[in-house]
Amino acid sequence: MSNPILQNCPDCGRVLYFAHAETNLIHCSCGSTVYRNNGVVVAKPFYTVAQPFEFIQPGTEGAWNGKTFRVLGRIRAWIEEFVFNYWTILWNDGSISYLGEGYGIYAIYEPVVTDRDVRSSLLDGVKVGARRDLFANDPFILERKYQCYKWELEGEAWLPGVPSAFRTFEFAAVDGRRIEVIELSNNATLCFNVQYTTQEALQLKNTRSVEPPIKTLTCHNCSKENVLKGFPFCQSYACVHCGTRYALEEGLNFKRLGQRNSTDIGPDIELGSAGVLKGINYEVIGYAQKEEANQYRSQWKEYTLYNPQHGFAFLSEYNGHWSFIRERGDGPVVEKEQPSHLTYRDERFELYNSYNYEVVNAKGEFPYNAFNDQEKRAVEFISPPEVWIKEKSGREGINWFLGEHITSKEIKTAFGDKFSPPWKTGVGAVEPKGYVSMGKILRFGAGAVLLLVFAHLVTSLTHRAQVISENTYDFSDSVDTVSFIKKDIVLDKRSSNLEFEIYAGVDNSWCEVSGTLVDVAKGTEYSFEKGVEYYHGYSEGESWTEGSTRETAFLSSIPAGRYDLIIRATRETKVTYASYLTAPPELNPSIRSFNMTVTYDTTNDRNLFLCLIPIVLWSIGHFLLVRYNERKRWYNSPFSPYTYSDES
Amino acid sequence: MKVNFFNSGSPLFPFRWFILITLLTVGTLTYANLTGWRIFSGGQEQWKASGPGGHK
Repeated sequence: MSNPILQNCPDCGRVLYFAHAETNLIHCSCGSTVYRNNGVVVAKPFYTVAQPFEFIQPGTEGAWNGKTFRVLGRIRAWIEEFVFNYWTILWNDGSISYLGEGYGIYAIYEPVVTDRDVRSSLLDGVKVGARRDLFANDPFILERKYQCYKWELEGEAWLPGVPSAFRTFEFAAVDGRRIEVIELSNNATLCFNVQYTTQEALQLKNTRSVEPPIKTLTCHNCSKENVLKGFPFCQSYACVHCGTRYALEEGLNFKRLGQRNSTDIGPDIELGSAGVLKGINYEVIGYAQKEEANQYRSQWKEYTLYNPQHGFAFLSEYNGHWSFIRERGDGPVVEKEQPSHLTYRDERFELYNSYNYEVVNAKGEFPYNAFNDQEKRAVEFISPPEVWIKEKSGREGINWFLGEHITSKEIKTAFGDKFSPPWKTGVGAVEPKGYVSMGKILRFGAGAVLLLVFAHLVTSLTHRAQVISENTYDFSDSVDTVSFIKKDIVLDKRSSNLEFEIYAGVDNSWCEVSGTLVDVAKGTEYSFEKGVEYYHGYSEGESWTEGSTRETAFLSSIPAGRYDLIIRATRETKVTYASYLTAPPELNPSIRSFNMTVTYDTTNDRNLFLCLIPIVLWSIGHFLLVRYNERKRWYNSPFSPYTYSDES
Repeated sequence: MKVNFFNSGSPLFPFRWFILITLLTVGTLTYANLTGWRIFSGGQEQWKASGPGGHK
């Protein structure tokens, strides 16, 4: 544990309690902000967080990766179009880190030493998507770079050098590792290993419960009031009365923008309505109709959902199909600008769409500045019911959003009468429709086949294939029928089968064998009949054969007991007449004997093959159904792997 | 992973009927193999001394 350091406020003389040797900023209860450097404290006029309302507060406790921590305070960084909190946390082992938090995104920032000296020259001019070897032969891709133009203090915090402004650079490796570099001043940088997490995983306790402040603004156009509930996270809005658009400038004032709304039928969910989606109580605070900036001019609607504790989410609607979308810090890392697919946690997502867009209609609030995204390139990768949306701009970097299909019914349940579901057409981009990847169908099909084969092999181990009779049975010369009895056959398994393998040397003739198994004690009889016939010949220049000299018959599900087996066989006898006058007819029996082997408790592979049929049929049927639906799903995609004859 | 594959939130939901069919098929095969039942086997006649006969 670190030893707390006690010092006195230069302004009021109160005792200041620094929980860690490296924390250097504290907000005294007298209102002064105090900077500590080399054991000396001085009062400096830093900005402080006015009306703090966030869920986390100084004193909040949590746990992560088996360690516990306590929140000391924060730096709230104002970064171009958004704010982000760097909470200073003190671990139970005495070390300090940042807990990054904002917009519902949480990340632990652990200080790390890179192999390479990360100097300003390495960062100057680096573009989003460029690579830098932060570790030896270990390239990282720059995903985001921001300029913090102002910061505010709450509680006790760690910010070496206390620069008035700083730059941040977030790099990512293709294996998902992320490094954030904070450039405090020229050639003074801090590097952090960034690990994204969730609020639930942090097990936060002693949290703040304060109603978030609201900001009221009067529209310059219609002079009516707009109430902002998401400020300062929301840094743009459109007047809910007249649609006039505004965006925050340098954290100070909302500036009216020259853009105008076009004709619009309006939102399908009323602004201000509240409802529970995915277990979180959201309020609809914004609505935007967006349009692809290409020849298709496809339009869709997006709704901004806000919960002060859980941050932001979005509902996106196209052709009556809905997606629930949240921003993610731990999105995929792709090396190419627009790969044909990406793999995220073993799930393959296919490139579905790529476009620039603009907001054509808007009402209410939006996180960031929603009205300057014309140069942003959005790329969608789908694996129904999920979609990863990558938004990239040269100015802001790469942001990833994870969406998942949500039904109108779920939205209706959440918002009730405040929601008027639009008409649904076609198959949505991430509508499940029984979708599973072809690979999964194959894997499940193969798994089921293996399971069946395994069950068959295991159960076959219990079969002993006991030969209980192997005899050749002779016919009398003058009789075409023969009967035999084998007595006292003891079948000792609770239930099993008998297999009769019959061989008769028939040649263009037949022999019929029937058997009856009689339970001596109960009198129950089980019987079978089997014909053995084999014909062959030569006709129309080709040889032909039909039938076989060997046949197999079964008696199945025979209960244990003492049995007599009665076998009867009939052979074919052909009568030929040499001469009606000089000789009696000549009898030509087809066979003189036949052979039969009776085996008890045999393995029946036919059962396995019959059981495989539904598995194979389902796999083929599912494949065809998925293919049918996929053709419809990809109809609206410029990257469809299917060809369509009705593309008019 | 949610075990109840009939729950729409389960990743196994699209395979719910397949899993059911597979389990039924494995059960049928196991039962057939252990009792000597030849599935879809015709032609075997059974006559009981205690009453009318029938076809199994």
